[in-house]
Amino acid sequence: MIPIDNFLVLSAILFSLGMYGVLARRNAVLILMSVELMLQAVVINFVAFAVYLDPETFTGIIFGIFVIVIAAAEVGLALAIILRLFRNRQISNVDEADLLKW
Amino acid sequence: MGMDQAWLIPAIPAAAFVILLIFGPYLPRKGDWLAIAAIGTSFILVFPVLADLLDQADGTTYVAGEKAWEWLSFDLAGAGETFNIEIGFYVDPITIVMLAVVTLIALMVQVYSIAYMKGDSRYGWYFTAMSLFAASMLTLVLANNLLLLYAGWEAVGFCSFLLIGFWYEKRSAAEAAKKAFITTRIGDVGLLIGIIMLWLEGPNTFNIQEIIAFAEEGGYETTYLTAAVLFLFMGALGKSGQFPLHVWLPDAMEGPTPVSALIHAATMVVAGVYLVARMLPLFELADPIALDIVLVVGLITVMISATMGLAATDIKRVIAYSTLNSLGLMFVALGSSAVTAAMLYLFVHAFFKALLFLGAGSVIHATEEQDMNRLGGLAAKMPITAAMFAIGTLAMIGIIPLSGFWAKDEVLAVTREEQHIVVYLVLLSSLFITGLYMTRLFVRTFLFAPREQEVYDRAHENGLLITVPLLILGLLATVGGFVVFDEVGEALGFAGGFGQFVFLHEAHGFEFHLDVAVTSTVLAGGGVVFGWFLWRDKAELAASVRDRFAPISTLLANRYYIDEIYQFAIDHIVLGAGALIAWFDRVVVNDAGVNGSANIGYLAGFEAKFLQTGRLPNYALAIVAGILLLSVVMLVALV
Repeated sequence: MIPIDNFLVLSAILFSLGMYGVLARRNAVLILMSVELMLQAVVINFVAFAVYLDPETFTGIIFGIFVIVIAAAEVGLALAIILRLFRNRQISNVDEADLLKW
Repeated sequence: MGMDQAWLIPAIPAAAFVILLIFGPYLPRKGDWLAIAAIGTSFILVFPVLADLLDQADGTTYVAGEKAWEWLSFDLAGAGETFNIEIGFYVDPITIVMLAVVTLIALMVQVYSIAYMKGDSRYGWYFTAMSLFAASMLTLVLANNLLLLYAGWEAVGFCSFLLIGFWYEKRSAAEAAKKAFITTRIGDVGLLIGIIMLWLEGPNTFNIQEIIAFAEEGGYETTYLTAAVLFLFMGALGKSGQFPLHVWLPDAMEGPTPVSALIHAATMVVAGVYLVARMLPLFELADPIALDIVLVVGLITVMISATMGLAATDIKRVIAYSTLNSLGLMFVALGSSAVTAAMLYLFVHAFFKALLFLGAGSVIHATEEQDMNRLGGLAAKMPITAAMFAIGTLAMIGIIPLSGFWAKDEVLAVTREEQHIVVYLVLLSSLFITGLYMTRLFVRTFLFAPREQEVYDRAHENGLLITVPLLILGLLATVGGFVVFDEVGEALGFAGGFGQFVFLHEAHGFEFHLDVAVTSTVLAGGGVVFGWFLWRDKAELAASVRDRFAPISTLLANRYYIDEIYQFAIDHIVLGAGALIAWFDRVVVNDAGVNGSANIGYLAGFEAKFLQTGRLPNYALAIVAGILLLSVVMLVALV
């Protein structure tokens, strides 16, 4: 059996990549993709722990499926927001959308 | 019907008050008949209660009637005791004397008021307030515990406020009402402190007799008891207008005259005397200084009021000073622990002082004038009023055989036996002054040539509603003093004279003190004769005496500047302290405390809001930084 460390390292790398993307990117679509990457890192964690710690039940795996479903819904919502932003203001850069401030 | 039903006596006027308050304006004649019927019934009910008390008495040992209902009862937190407040009534000879006085005078005054207050825009309200007063005063008198007594005490003070300020459109009346209320309240605070002190160290009850019994067993420490009774006395001081809280009573004459007769002469102001008489066993158990203070206060009041009476020109004010004079005498008697003398004086004083006030009211009603400098010669036009007023005057001065003489004689005899000779001499000298100013009052109002023809022309004898109460009170003021005789008491069904009905430790028969009687009669009579010569005709002699002693007469006319001193103290000390506290409240509490803390929140919010840049990357960075921070904390904590 593959040691759990491998999965955790993979998950950490994926998460860090995603985090870097969220922090460094300015394009809204790329930020969204980075967020997805972080979510998938979490899913890997869930599944890995589920198999290693409690192979009898499916709790962790079901959680992984939940995360995927929510991520899909989130993508639908976020893309709609990004589309409206582009349609109305011709911007896709999150730096330029700063109306929601004091 | 007996002592157990004594609660009906205050309950009936109280019911009348409630009915008048709600339905008064819709009743025929605004309901004055209801108020009078109620107080009349109360008056009649006093007799079966008295008969019951006498029936159950064995010789001169009276069995007091007591009946109480629980009103409030709860466990005291932590003390493991139950706290009880009762509504209870207690009937003993002192109570009976007070009940008889209050109901009878109230009845007379209310009948008189039908004519006196006729046509007043608040005629109905007058009788409503009078009913409330009667109910409160009777509750005060009958109360078996100090809390109920205090409730009645405050209620009569409130009624006094309402009725002094009855014509509140007049600025002076409104201010007099306020002054009376605030001045008596200073004393009332003391009374409440005294009650709480007696309860706190006492047998967890407010019942007067139980407190007295507890004190007699030595339950209270002497110093503590002395402080407590002196606080009680403070209440009496305010209510009975004793020095230094006497300033409200002369001003209270702004109220309608029948109100002055009932509240500010015969009943409410003697509540202080009643309180001290009721609690006298405690005063005796306390340090002797307590009774000495009662005595000295009474003595000071007697002297200052008698001398101020010499200078006042308003007839009602002169009578008000004579009331202070009489109340002072009662306190002198109490200071010598002579309940009999004090209560006897209270009893007859009610008759002749109510008579004087109602007589003055008759003059005011007929002439619409109450300044002695504008009256004079009214005897020719108002013979009944003048005759009754003369009886009241002579009774007040204490001329044998009128009622005032017997009571005053008792007080003098007691002070001569019990007190230092100086006290006796001061009282004797006050009798002379009393003779002077009462003679002045009568002579200036009723005799010699009228000073204002216009006022004189208005004068006429009043109708039966006014003269009949005057005649009844005149009769009582004449014969009321005879109750001191054992034969009179026995004829009325008592065990003997007044001294065998109202007493503190043991009953005593009537003794006639010839030397005291002769001395007092000579002095009082001398005052009358001297006063006659001073103020006869145009009072030229009095004017020359006044000019001769100008500083003294100015001092008296300005009432020893006591009001001015109080005004100064209020302006500078009370208002000064008030300004300081107001400053503290405004600057420290409000500006720094309330607004200050609000400003901190506001400023913090104002500065912090700029953290909300509205830029997504900033938020993302903040979230990541937060996670990293938490991770570091976790790591440190775990490792």
